[in-house]
Amino acid sequence: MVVLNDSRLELAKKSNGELLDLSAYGEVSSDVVFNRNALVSSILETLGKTSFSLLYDVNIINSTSIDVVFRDLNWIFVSWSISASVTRSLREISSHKLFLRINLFSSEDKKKPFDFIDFSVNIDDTSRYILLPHNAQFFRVDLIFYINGIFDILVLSDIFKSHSYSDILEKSISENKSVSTIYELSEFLPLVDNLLKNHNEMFS
Amino acid sequence: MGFKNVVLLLSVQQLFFNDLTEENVSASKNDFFNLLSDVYIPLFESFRRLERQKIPYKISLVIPPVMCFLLENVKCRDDYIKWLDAKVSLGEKELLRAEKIFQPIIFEILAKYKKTKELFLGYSCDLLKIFREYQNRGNVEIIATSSTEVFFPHYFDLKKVLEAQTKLGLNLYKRFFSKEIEGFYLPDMGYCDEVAAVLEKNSVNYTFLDSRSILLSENFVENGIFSPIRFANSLVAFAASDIFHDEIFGNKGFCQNHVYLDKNSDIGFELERNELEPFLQPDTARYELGYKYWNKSFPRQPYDKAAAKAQCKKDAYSFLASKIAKLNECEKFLESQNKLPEIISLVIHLDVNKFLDRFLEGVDFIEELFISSSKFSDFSFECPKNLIKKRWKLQKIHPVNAAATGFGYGENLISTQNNWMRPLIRKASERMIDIAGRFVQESGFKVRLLDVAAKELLLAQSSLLQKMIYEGNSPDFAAQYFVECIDNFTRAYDALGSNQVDTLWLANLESALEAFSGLDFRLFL
Repeated sequence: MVVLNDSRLELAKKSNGELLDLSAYGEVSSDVVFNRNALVSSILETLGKTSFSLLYDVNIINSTSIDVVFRDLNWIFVSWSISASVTRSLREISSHKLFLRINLFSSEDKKKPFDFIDFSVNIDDTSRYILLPHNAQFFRVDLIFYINGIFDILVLSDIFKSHSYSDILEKSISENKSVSTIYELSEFLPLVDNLLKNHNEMFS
Repeated sequence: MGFKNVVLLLSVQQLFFNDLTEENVSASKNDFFNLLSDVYIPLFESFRRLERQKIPYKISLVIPPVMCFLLENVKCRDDYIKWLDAKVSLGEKELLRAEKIFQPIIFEILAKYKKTKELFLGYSCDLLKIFREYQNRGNVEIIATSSTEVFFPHYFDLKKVLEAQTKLGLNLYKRFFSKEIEGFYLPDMGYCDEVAAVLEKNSVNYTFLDSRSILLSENFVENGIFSPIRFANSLVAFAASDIFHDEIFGNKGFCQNHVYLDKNSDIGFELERNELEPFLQPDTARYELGYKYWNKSFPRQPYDKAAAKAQCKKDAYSFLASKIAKLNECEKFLESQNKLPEIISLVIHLDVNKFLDRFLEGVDFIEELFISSSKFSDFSFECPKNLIKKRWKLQKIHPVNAAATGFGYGENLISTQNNWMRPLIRKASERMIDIAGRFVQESGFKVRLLDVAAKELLLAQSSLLQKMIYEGNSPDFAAQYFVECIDNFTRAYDALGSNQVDTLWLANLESALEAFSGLDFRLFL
């Protein structure tokens, strides 16, 4: 399933001196704080090698399913699998299209989404990071196929509540917190700075 | 218990081994023995010194279940003694090889290993018993945790996984420490809404959350991180700020002072391989051998233990003074508002693995924190269970999802390097819940298959594997370990369906990891 590459192990067998020689040769800058693991990783990166390459066999799952997990407040990681028989059928029709649809709901019990966004995917894809839109209070992810004018859902996720940065920025960072002595003593402002930094980097 | 309190919380990452009976000392086993020699046994010695000087101390320790199994295992204890003997032999060899300038430090290290062996034998090789003794005396509070290092938010919609990990962790805690449960440590303080109900259902009284979970909640938290809060149910949470953790372990933290010992200067990383025979296994990645002679200065200087100790004293004092200043300011402010609660508290959370990785003087630092505390009045170190006796008076908060890893939300656990693990572990978790329900009435080999499947799943759920891959810390090993667990799980799952099983394979798996032997798959019901 996972093809191991022995490059990392070979490097891990080397002494610090040998690693530093290699890093100088490969023009890898060593950290100010020396760290063997970081040095090995940077050498591998310079050599264009990763420690292992992923070849996991999706047949181990062999069912049509979808999974959504929050990576942070705004990004979700969606992974899916399509059963072998459905995959075969789709491959037989070259004109098929697959996409992920993010359905947006105003509440958890609403049947009908008020909006949706589509992301095109290939049949060999198995996962994707998706940035949730600002107005995604509740959302559901569907894996949809399109063949000859027919749309149909292969699999859909549950409905999830989002906890976005914007939500926190709007609802949790009130003025009375920002000027509060207790919040200042609790190191609130560095947390907010980090939050804003992450939020701004995402949209810059 | 005074009015102003500091909770000192020490957590450690969960450890795992494929095979405890393995003859060769693997790097991970070496790490575990280093943890005993450089953290826990010195910590017990530090407690003794504090008691002799009549200095009060209280500390909260998270002891993961797998570590308890290892501490209980007779073979592992014997291996540790052999490992200590090998350190002494290596030191004697080093005395002949190393330059004269290093002789004093080699003698010191040699003496440390000899003394550690003497202490270990003096403890009847039973460190769990020593933990229990300190717990019974009230100086140490042992905090339970999940059976493996699972990141709870990743299973927010699989409540049975959260319950299985929690219940098993608590059962094991009761087995090893024979005490009623008070506190539960969520690995990486990974919090999601579903956690509170699971903990309360299992009679947990309190947990710890990253300060983001509390300060970024919609509520205005009246005492900030200076009081525990209460959930909608009776569960209590203490806030731990990773900013304090970074003050010690960060890239600009106290641990980076140039006088401290440089882990990377270990002879295991520096000498030619032939000079390290037979202490370093041939053809393996290098690992620490315990003999380090240089400090962190650049250009580097020989390590001066006395200078490091003096610096440690200063750093511990300065760190504690800044925290007490915060408590004092907090008191003054709340008093001025006429909102002074009965007690105020502050959590200092230290990750023990960082001691081995970045701050080998860590235990000295802890001891100095307690010694320094005598210089401050009206303040004490306290165990959390003593601070929640009037929990109904605590402010009720709805915390938000956050964690003490990644950028605050566990981003490192679902990164481009390790996200391939997610569909596999997710599917296996769903399948486990399914087969636990379907085969609940079964007996015989099917139950054995189900138990093995549950064990392999719990091991694969350890987020330590994702972390190792993300951080480039033996990622090949972590990937291989994960894949083996998933393969074993899938084989057991398929065997349940086909009614065909290789009994030799099953027996091997059952005996492979003593930790979790006796595990019952019905945990996932």
